[in-house]
Amino acid sequence: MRGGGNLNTFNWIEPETLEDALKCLDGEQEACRVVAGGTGMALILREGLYKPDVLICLKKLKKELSYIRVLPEGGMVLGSLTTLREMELSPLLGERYPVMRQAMKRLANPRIRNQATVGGHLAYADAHLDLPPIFLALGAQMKATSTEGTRSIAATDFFQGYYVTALRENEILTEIFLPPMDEAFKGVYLKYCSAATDDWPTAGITVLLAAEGMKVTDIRIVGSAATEMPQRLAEAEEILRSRKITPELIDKTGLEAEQAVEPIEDIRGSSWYKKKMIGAHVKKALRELMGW
Amino acid sequence: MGAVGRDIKRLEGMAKVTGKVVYVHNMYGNNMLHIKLLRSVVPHGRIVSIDIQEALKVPGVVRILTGADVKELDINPYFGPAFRDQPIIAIDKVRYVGEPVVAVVAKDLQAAETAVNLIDVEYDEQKAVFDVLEAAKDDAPIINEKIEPAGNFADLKHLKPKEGSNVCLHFKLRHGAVEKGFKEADRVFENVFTTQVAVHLPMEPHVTIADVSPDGKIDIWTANQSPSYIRSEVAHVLKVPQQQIRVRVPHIGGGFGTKLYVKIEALVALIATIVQRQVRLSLTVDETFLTLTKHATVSRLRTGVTNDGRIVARSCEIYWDTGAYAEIGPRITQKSGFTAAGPYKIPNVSIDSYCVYTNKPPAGALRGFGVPQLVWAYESQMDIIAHEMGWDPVEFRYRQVLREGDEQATGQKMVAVGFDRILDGLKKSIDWKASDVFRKEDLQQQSQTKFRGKAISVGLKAVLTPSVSGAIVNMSADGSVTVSCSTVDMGQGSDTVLCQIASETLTVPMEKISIVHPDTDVTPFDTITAASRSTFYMGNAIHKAALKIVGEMLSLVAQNWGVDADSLEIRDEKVISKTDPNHSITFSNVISSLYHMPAGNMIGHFVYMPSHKSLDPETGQSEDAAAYWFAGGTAVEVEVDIETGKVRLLKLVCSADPGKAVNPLNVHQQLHGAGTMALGQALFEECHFDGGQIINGTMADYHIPSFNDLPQDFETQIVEVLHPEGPFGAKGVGETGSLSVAPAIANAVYNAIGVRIVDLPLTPEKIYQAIQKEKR
Repeated sequence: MRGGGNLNTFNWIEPETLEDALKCLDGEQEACRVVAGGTGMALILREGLYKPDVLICLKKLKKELSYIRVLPEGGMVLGSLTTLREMELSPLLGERYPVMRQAMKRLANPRIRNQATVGGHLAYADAHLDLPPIFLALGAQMKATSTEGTRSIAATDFFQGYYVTALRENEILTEIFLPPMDEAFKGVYLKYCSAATDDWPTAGITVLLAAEGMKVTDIRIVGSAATEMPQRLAEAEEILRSRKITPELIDKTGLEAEQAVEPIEDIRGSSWYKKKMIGAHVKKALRELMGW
Repeated sequence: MGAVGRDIKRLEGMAKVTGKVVYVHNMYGNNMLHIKLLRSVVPHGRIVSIDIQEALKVPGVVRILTGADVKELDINPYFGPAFRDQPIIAIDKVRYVGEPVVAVVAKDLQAAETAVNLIDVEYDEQKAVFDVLEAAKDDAPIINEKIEPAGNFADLKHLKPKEGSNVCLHFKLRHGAVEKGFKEADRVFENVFTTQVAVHLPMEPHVTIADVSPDGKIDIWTANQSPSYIRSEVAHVLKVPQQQIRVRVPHIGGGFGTKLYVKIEALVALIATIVQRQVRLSLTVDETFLTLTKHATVSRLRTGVTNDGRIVARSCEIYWDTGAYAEIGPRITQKSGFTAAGPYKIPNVSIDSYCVYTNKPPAGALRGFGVPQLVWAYESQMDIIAHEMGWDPVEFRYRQVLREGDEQATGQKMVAVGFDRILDGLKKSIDWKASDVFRKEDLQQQSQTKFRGKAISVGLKAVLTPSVSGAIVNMSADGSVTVSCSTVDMGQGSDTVLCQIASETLTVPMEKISIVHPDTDVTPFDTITAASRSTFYMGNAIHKAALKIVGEMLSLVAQNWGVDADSLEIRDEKVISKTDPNHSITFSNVISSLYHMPAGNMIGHFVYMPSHKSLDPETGQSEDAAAYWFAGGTAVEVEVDIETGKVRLLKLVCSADPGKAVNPLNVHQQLHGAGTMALGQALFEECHFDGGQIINGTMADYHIPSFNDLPQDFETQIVEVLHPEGPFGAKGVGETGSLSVAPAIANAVYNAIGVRIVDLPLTPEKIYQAIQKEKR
C-alpha cells in the first residue's frame, strides 16, 4: 500500500558544474538519477514507485544548461534545463514552431510549467506527456553528454518504450536541437482527455502538414498517450502523401492510423476505444489544418 | 434592515484567504508523537501473524499497536453509527484492501513510516466478494459474522441488523397496493440503473490529535463534522464517562460526509491513553480514498403508467454497496430509501432497499446522502417513459410532481415544496420546448459531428429526522452576544448564517455576535453537521434560545416599568414600549440593572427537536417521517461529440427551494458547489478496482472538476417557499444542488443523440460505444 513515501532517505547531491554532475553520475553504483525540475520525480517518490539511494540535483547548472537559441544555419537549440514556462513565453520558439506554442497552453498548469524542464520532460518519457510527440514530429535531435563525451540521438531513436529512453545510465540530456521547419508546414497538436479536462490525455495526435493548394507535399503524423511511446504513423501518412486531400481521404487516413496503434488499456479507456480516438483525432487534426 | 435575507460574505473569509485560520491539519504540538498505519493488502482474510520485530528497532519508534494488543485491553474495540461492526484496528481478520492493521507510534513521521514498511503480516486469504448483487446472494462469503446494533441515534435504534448474510439491512415501504396499480397501468417500464464508487476529497484530509491532560481527561482536536457524536462514541470505546472526553473542532477544510462519525478518532484517543502523550494521525489524501467512499448502487425500477400520462404504480429495488463496514449505510438505506420513488404523487409504491456488505472500503454519506443515486434512477426513467410514450418529459413531471398537501410514498403530506416554481424557472432558463427532440437519422449524417440537447430533472430529499440541536445564547452586560453551538463550519458558511439568525432575532448587529466553535465541554449536543439540517435545526435552536433572552428581558422591563410585557417589543438592541417609542431601555442597561453593576449576562438555552413518528417497520409508512423536505432541480444543455462520445456542458442550472434564503449569496454558492461536485460524479469521477484494491486512489489519477470542466453558463436559482417551522421560514440547501445533475445530463445526451446510458459515470467511451450500436 502507499504511504507517505520516504522523501528524505536518500543522498541529495547538488553539483556546481555539468562536469561535476557527470563525474558524480559516473561514480555512483547505487540507484541514482538526476533531477531537474523534480515534478515527475516527486510524484514517483511519493507513490513509492522508485526508491533511490542518490539523487543528483541539476539546479545549480541552470546557467550552463538553460537557454533558447536560434542557430545561424537554421533551427534552434534548447538547453535541457530550460523550463517549460520559458519555452511557452519565448517568442523565438513560438514564431518558429507555432504547434509548440499551442501545446504549451494546455500542458499541465503554470505552477508545473514554471518548475518542469524540457530535459526532464523528455527524459522522463511518460507516454502521456505533450512535447515528446511534437519533438518527434519536428525531427528533434537529443544531445546526451557523459564523461566520455557527447552523442546525438534522433527523437525516433530516443523514445524506446514506456518510461524508457536511449539515455545510458551515465548520460545527461543536455541539449535539444530543433531543425528548421519549412514555412509550408502547418502543425496541430490535439490532446484528448476523456475524463476531466486537466487529466492525463487518453490520446494525443500531432500532425504537421505541408500542402500546395489541396495537394499534400509532406506530412508527419505522430500518435501519443494511447501508445506506450510517441509513435510516428507512417502508414497513415502514406495515404495522403502527394495526394489531393479530400474528406474521404481524411477518413481513410484516420482508419489507417487507428489500425497502426496498439494502445494499452487503463482507467482512461479500453484499447479499442483508444484506437478509435487516435483515428478520430487524426481526422479532427487534418480537418482543422484544412479549415474544414 | 435585519440580517436575514441579506447577501453577507463569510465572516471568516478574509482570515481564510490570508492563511490565518487554524485547521487541525496545521496544529503541531511540541514533543507530539506521530502515528502511521499499515494497511491491509488483501481484501478478505484471517490475520495469521504480524511480525513487528524489525519495526521496533527503528530509532524513534515508541509503540506498535495491533488488533491482538487491542483484544487484551478493557475497551469496546468496535464502533459505528448504525451497527458497531468496525474495529478501531483490524482484529483477527481484514475485510478490505486498505483496512488499518497496525498502528506505529513514533517520535517523528519518518520513523513511523520506516517502521511501517518493516512490518510483515501474514494473511490466510478468504474468498472475497466485490459485486453488490453477488454479495447479497445466500451463498456469498460472509464478511461480518456478528453485528451489534449501536443504538445511539433515535432514528437508528429500530434498525435491526440481519446476521448470517451480507444484507445487513432490508428497508421496506408499501404504499397503496402496487400489484393492483400495475394492473391498472397501460404500460409498464422496467429498467436497471447503476452508480459508481466515488469519493469526497475535501482539501483537508482526516486528521486527529489526542492528548491526556493531567486530570486524566482526554482532549481531542479533530477535523470532524460530528463532535458530539465523537465524544459519546469515543467514551463508549474507551469505557469512560462522556465528561472525560473533550472534543474540539475548529474550522475544517471541507467534509462532504467523509468526516461524519468516528473515523480515526477512537484509535488516536486510545493510543494517547496508552502512551500518555500527545499523538497525531494525519491521513494522506491517498488514505482518504480508503476511509470512506460514496455508495455504489444498483436500482431496479418498475413503473406503470396510464395512457393519459399518470404514474399509477412504481416498485423500486435498491442495492447499496456499503463496503466492509455498515458505517451510515443503514440510515441511507432507510432514510434515502423512502424517497426512491421520486417527488411524484404515485398512489401505489413499493420499495425494497438493501444495505449490503462487500469487501471494499466502507461507504457513507456524500453530499446528498444516497439521494443522488436514487434520483439518477427515477429521473432517467422519467425521460425513458416520456420518450417511449411520446410525451413531453417536462410536462410528464408537472403532471404528478408533489405539491402542497400531496402524499409522499411514506404517507406524509407535503409542506412547502416548491417544485412547480422550480420547474417553471428551469424551463425558462434553457428555453425548453417539447419539440426539441433529436431525430435518429441525424446520427447517420457524415457531416455533423456535434449535437446539442437539453433536459430537466428534479429531486427530493428528506431531512434527517428525528435529530437534536442545542444552543446557548449568552448576552453580556455590554449587549454583545456569544452563541455556543456544536455546528461545524466546514466551509458551508454556517457561522455566518447562524450569526444572521441570532442577529435578526435579537436585533443585535452581527459584528457584536460571535459563534463559539464546537467544544463538547462548552457547546451543547448537536446530532451532526450534515443532511442540510443546520440552518433549520441549529437555526431554530439559536432562534428560540435568543427568544428566551428576549422574553426574560421583556418581563424584567415590564416589571420595572409596571406595564404588561405584551406592550413591549425589541428593536435596535433596545426594549421599547409599543405605545411610546421614546420610552426605551438598551439591552445593556437591562442586564446592568439586573445585577446592579455593568456586569453579568443573560443566558438563553434551547434544545430543538421536531416531532417525528417512526416509520412502520413493515410498510415504511409515517405521517411524520421528516421535519421538512427539500426540493431541487437541474436544467442542462449539452453538446455531444459523436466522434469521441465526449459530453461538453454548455449550460448548467441548479435550482433549489431552501425555504427562506437566510443568506442568498451563500445559497447561490452552495448550489454552485454542489452542482460542480455533482457534474464530476456524473461525467468522470469513479474509483476503479482491481481485486478489491482502488487502482486510481490518488489525485493524479482520480480527477475532480477543475474550472476548465465548468460550463461557461452556470446559473443558480432560488425558489423560496417558506416552511412554517423553519427559522424565518428557512429549510436547508447544502445538498440540494447535487441531487439531480447526473440524470439531467444523461437525459440531455439522449435528447441530443438518442443514446441512453444507464450506468454512471457518463464516460465518453460508454457513449461512443452506444453510438456505434445505434448506428448499426
